[in-house]
Amino acid sequence: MIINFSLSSKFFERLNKLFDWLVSTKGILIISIIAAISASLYFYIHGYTVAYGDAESHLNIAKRVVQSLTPGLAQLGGIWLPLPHILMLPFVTSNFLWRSGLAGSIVSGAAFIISSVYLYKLVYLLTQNKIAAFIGAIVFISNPNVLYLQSTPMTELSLIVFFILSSYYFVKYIQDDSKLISLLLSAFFGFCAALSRYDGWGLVVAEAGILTLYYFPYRKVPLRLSQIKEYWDKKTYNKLEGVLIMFCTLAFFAIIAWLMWGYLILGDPLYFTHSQFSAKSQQQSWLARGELPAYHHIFQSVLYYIVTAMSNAGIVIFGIALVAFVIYLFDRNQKHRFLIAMLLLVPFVFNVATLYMGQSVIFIPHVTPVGFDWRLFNVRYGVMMIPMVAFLVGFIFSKIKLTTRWLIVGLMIVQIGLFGVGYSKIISFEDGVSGLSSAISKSPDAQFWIAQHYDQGLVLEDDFARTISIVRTKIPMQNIIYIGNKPYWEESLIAPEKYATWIVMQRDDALWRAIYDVPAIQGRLYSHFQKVYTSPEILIFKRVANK
Amino acid sequence: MKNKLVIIFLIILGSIFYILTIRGALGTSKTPNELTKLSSLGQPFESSHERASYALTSSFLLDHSLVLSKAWADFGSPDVGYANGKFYSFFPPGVSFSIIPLYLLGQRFGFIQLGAFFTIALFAIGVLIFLYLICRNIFKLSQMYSILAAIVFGFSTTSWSYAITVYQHLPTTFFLISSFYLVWKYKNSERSGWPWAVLVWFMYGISIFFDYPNALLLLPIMFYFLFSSFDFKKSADKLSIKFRVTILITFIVFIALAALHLYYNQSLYGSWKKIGQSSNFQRYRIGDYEQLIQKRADFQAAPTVTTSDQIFKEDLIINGGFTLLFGPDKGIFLFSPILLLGLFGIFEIRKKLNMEYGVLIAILLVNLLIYASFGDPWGGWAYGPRYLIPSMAVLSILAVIWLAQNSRIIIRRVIFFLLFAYSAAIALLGVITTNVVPPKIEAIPLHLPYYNFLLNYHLLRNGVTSNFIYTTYLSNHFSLLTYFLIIYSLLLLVILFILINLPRREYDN
Repeated sequence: MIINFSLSSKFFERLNKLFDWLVSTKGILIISIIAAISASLYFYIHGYTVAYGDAESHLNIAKRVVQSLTPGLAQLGGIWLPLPHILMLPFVTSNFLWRSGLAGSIVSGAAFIISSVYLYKLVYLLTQNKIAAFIGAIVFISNPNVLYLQSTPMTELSLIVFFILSSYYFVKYIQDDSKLISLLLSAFFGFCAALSRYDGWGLVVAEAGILTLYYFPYRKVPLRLSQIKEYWDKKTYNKLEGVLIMFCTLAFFAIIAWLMWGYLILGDPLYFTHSQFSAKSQQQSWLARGELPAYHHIFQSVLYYIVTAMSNAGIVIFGIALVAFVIYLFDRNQKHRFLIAMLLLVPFVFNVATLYMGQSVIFIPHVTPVGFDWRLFNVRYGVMMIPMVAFLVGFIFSKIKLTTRWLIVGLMIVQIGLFGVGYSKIISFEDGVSGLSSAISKSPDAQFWIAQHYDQGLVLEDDFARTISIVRTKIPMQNIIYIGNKPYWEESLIAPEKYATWIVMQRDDALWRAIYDVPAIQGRLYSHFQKVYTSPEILIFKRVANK
Repeated sequence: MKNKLVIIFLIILGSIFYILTIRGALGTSKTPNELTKLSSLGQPFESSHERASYALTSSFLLDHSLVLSKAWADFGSPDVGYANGKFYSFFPPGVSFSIIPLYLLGQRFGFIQLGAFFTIALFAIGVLIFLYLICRNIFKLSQMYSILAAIVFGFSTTSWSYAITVYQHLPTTFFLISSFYLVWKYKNSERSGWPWAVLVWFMYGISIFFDYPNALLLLPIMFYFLFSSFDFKKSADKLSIKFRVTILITFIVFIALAALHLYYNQSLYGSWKKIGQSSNFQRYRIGDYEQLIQKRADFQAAPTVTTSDQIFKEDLIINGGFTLLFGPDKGIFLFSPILLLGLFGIFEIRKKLNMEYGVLIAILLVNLLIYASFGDPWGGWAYGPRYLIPSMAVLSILAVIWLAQNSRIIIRRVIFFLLFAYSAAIALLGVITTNVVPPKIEAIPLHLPYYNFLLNYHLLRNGVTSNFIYTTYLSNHFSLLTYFLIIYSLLLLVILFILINLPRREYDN
């Protein structure tokens, strides 16, 4: 038995109009706005916006710039790069937006929307195919790990947007080097990326390197000494000089500014690499335990990052991207394909290098040994590869026949299904909820206690130890004394009673070591404070009223 | 040579090699005590997988019960589940029921175990026939190439080891490969194609009786089935779509089989939702009996068999994928490197990719994805990557497609022969000796010296086997190694004959 039906050409005309609108910049803009708002609302309603420990730290850094005991730009600190916090400033003035984390969601969400639109434009620029550009953008928009991170105050989306913007204008420039404005815009967004996350430094360095290759002053390789001069192309060299100076002046200014900031505010331009709060210092404890598998091990570094990228992108999508990458590299019709591939591979090279050098650590269950203390940590770094994956899926879409296009669409649906049924974990979300990066999985009883009992007065706490979550209590930020409040902090370590009404300390944190472990100061503590909360790890003291 | 003659040739060839390598002995032993004597290394019941499936058959025929008695549970342990005071086989009933006809025939003529085991060889011969038909009719290869694809799968992969014993992998491969061919027939039938559609649904439904993951494994074929039901035609002013409702009407066959399966679950386990590997079953080990009986209530509260925790997790895919593809203990390309040519075959077809090729590749991916994400990708103590046997069939087709390309013909044939010779030797080693080979992860802590085919080579040199023909008729005349070499030489002669007689240029028809 066979059923016949037919669709008239008018129907297709209408469908075409709708389709044309959908696969345009406007369509992507609308889709990404809907996705951003829906995801942010979903995660907010379920209480996951500030699930990451770092999420609250980012919110608090921004909040302290505008509201704290010692407000001002110095509160931006010297470890995390400042731009994501600066972008949050207008929003954290609202206590609701600060405590709920939505101040960060707004910034990340806006970054997500712009990223989606410019990813569309980037794929279109390289393929001249609107449907391929649409598919590329949809791969990015529909990725649940990206959707989660864009709902949080984490800084990944801030980097991604500047990475995509800088790359878009950079590619535009190398496709037509008469458009200097493109290079300037690329440098500007590179500057922003370099002030967002350290990965941005890798981006601007790579872009400068690619420019050097692009304007390499030899068109032939000199094989003899005499040819060095003979083949020298003075004109190209002059162009290289001019372009590099122009690009680097703006793009590298971010790096220089940050080094100067470190020197002026913290007395050490490389404070971010080797202070006690730096990532490298934190990796030392893993190294001591023998749980830093990628350290000085290039194969493990590559494996960890590839698996992390795969898990974030989704195994099926990542598989398509791998195939697409090979095809892209061998496609002679793609102008400057090696230079563009180098650009898109910056997050990969940067993350592998930092893993290898011990500057960062990733634990992911796929490859982390079962005996390790933690098997889920920092997996969100893999999200940086999703723009490249999205571009590659878009690219291969532009190269294949109609039937195979349906296969790609089918596989994209399969991937969403795999996320849906839990086969592929939304791993960056899992890390925030239950991994080592999570704050909400480790909320101590002391936090609930102080949330109920805090009434007024200054609270002395070691913010770095994250003993309690400030946004989850009623304590106003201006009532917190932490290491960045000079001279309150330093004086409180000698005379705890001078400013604080409350002291919250955790075993072996800075306060415990400076106050509780020093008998003289401990005596002073007990003469002015009463211990109101005790647990094996956390002690809370409250100032005795009449002293 | 007509197709029918080739099919008869394949039946004869398959029967000869499977009979030459089948394990066991003549006789009518059927009680657990008698059969337990056949459960040591190299014997027909060396693995609990074989014992548990066989226990269910025996219990059904002898005790008229699907619930195992303690004696049968002891025989099938540890692949036996315990719940509510009853013992069950862990496995779905397909394999156990399918061996009944030849079991009964064997009972009549004095070869119960051999008859039962040969059932699976019949499925294997079925796979050989369908591989031939697929190559010949779908991919338009000539007869010799098509025969070659069947022989590659049958006798140069570790599928051989599972074709002469009671495992589910060959029936699974049969349902998969035959369904693929049946869908193609359905697609190309001029009318509604309902006989083919009925058969496709039947194969899909029945396959789940043999192994639960088949519901997923056959999905690419079911999508192929669905897409084949549509026909699009574009004219100047409209798009015409034809849809064959046959696919919906014949769905009733699947519904009926699914209902039968649910009824089986309901009547045996007390709930249609429960299966033999449900989380509320306690794995039964022989020494645990007293403890199980005494603590019956505790077992329901503290289940230990939680398959949902062990399967389908992306976290496991790196380890599982490496183990199944390249692992020193189970890697498919280590045991059967001829299948590497299948990967080159994919490269060859990249420019003429159509729906049929797409479905084959999808089967490979789904098969790998399911079992690489499985908690036990090794398949326990097994010979080669037994979970990838369906992929071996697909790769055999693709390997022959690589061979059939019209460039560097001699080089291709030499490479093909060398890889076949190596792969067939490894395959024959397993089938002559044992399937119970520990994975590396277990061999090392247990201080076992071997964890791959080196164990089988060691057993071969020491004459450890339960090969029916050899132990019954030939062991007094020559060594096991000589017997191995005779079969191996015979196989190489067959393949050499085919390679020499391959057409000079392929794709000429």
